[in-house]
Amino acid sequence: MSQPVVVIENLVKRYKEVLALDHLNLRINEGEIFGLLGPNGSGKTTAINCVLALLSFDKGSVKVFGEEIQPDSYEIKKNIGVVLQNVAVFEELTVFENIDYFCGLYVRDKRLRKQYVSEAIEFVGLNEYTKFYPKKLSGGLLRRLNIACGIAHKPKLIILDEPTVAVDPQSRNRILEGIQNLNAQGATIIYTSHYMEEVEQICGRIAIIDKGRKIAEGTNEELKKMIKADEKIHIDVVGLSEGQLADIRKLSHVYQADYTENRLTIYCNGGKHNLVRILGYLQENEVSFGRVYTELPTLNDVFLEITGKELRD
Amino acid sequence: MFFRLFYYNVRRQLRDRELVFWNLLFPIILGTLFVTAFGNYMQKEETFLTVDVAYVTEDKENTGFAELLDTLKDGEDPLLSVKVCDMEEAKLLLEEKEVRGIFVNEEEGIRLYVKEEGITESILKTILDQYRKTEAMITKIMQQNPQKLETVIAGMSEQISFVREEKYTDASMDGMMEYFYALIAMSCLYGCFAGVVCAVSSKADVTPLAARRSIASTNRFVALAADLTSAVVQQFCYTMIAVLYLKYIQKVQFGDKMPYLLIVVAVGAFIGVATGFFIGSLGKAKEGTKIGLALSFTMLECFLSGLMVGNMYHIIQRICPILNKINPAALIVDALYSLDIYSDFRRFWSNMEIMGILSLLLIVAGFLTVRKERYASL
Repeated sequence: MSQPVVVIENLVKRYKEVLALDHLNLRINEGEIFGLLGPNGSGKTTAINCVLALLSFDKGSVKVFGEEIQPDSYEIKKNIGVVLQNVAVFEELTVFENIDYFCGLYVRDKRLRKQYVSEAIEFVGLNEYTKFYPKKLSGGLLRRLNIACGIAHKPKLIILDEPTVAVDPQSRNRILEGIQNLNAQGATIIYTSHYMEEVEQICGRIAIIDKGRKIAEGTNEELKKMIKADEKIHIDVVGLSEGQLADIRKLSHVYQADYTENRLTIYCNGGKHNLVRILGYLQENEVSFGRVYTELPTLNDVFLEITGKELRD
Repeated sequence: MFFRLFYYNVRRQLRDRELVFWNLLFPIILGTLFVTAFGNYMQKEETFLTVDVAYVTEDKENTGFAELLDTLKDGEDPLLSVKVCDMEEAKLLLEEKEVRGIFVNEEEGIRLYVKEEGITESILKTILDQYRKTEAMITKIMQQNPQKLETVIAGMSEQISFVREEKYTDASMDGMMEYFYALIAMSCLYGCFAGVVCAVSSKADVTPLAARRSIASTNRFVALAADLTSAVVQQFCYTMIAVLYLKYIQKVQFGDKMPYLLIVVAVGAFIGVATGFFIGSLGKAKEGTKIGLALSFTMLECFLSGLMVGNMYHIIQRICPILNKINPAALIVDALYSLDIYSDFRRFWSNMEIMGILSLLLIVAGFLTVRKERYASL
């Protein structure tokens, strides 16, 4: 088993009356991409800030690289790279200077720093923008600069807190690919997001948190196995009666069916040819239908089944 | 590490257009406006010293008074400009304000005729009174003890030379200089803007940038020291540029004590940055709000030191002298003024000491606030 890089035990954090972290336990192993998934306000950023020794907490412990992290744990901090949710760069410095400045907070050797900065620029694809000031960059490029500032010093542990918020699809893909590359180069990644697709795409293990509590943890597949739904079928249907909906719910392997705004959504657990059986029913009962598609359960379904609400509620 | 951070801070500050405008260009613009506004007044004061006067002899001889007038109209900077004419012409000149008074050599002695009352007229009267006193004394000595006349005259000359003017500095003693000193104080104290930025850049609960710096592996004290040092150096340079511009381009007489002026500006920049740093370290308000607060506080300090009302410093000195002892702007103005009027530097160094202590207190208080190890909320 890999060595744990971050161990959070029974972490409790209160903001006056609000319980932001409720006995949170996490263990992030060396070399993995660990996803922290949860809706806005679920406690992801609070947990990250506790790991970084920025926030005080009421109870529990946080160990990074085997040691309790403190604000002056400079040796531990040397090996941590952070990409914060908000873009944090100097408006008066160019792209190159910003990366050099932040890299310089960790790396003293001038030659090594120069090399790292060049590699970081290459990594985020900002080669053509090195002399640009941040205000001249688009939102996506700015996010890339934000990432470069956080990872230029080649840390062993990289924490990315919602790095793709307000980013165009092209930049998002580039960022996600970059994170996988960093991981391939040996870095342990903690990735927080409320975009389940991203977490599904890149994370090896995922913890879903809600209201400061960890409600599920495991690999993508393990999490999906926790719920009943194996298949989700969507059919655009016009004029489905209550009786017909009740009939569909009685079909074998169907455990839930909803009909809203001319869309029929059917959840099936196990079984084969579920779609054929459902379409057969609609044809027999002369119910006209249009677009039909099926999908495998997502992490949103996991979240929905456990908490009773959507991830993006 | 320190020098790298220092270098980047200087770069950042140089590219901060707002900072460059308020801390460098604004004092220069304001100084230029002061020179333009006060220029005429200063010139008037110079011409005021030479008084035009008519002398009507009425064909009578008064060697003593004639010699006195000759003495007073001689030299590079004469007190009088004398026009000898008849009474009719003199009256015409007085009417047309070509002269401010007429000395008339009458039977009873010299008489003075003026048209208005004022400082100039008082000077003419003083000259005449002094002449009359001396004339009466000499006449009396000649009558009572003529053998001592020579000794008395020699003694009078000695007395005059004994009270000659001694200049400690070539600085202007012009009252208008207080405005320029207050302007220098304002420029120094504008270091508060950079001071606020230093504090805010260290408060992770105010800006994401500060959070990023806080989680880096650089010692916070070193980072803060680099920030503050660069801010002080930058403000010192900005103020010195303004001072040199006023001295060499606008010919404002700051005197010949430039090394002391450098010290004032350096300590002034330090207290300016320290004030901003302290204000910036308080609470979780945004940077803009804190800069607004620092600006208001600085302008109040400058107002009380006489930037807007020339004699405000003296009014405060009368009403609440302690305020002048803790107001950095007043201390800067007083230190600069003391260079002009005192031969020793006791008052100057006393002001510098107070400013140094105040700066250190503000820096320590600010540091104790921003060094916070962990935040309750971000």
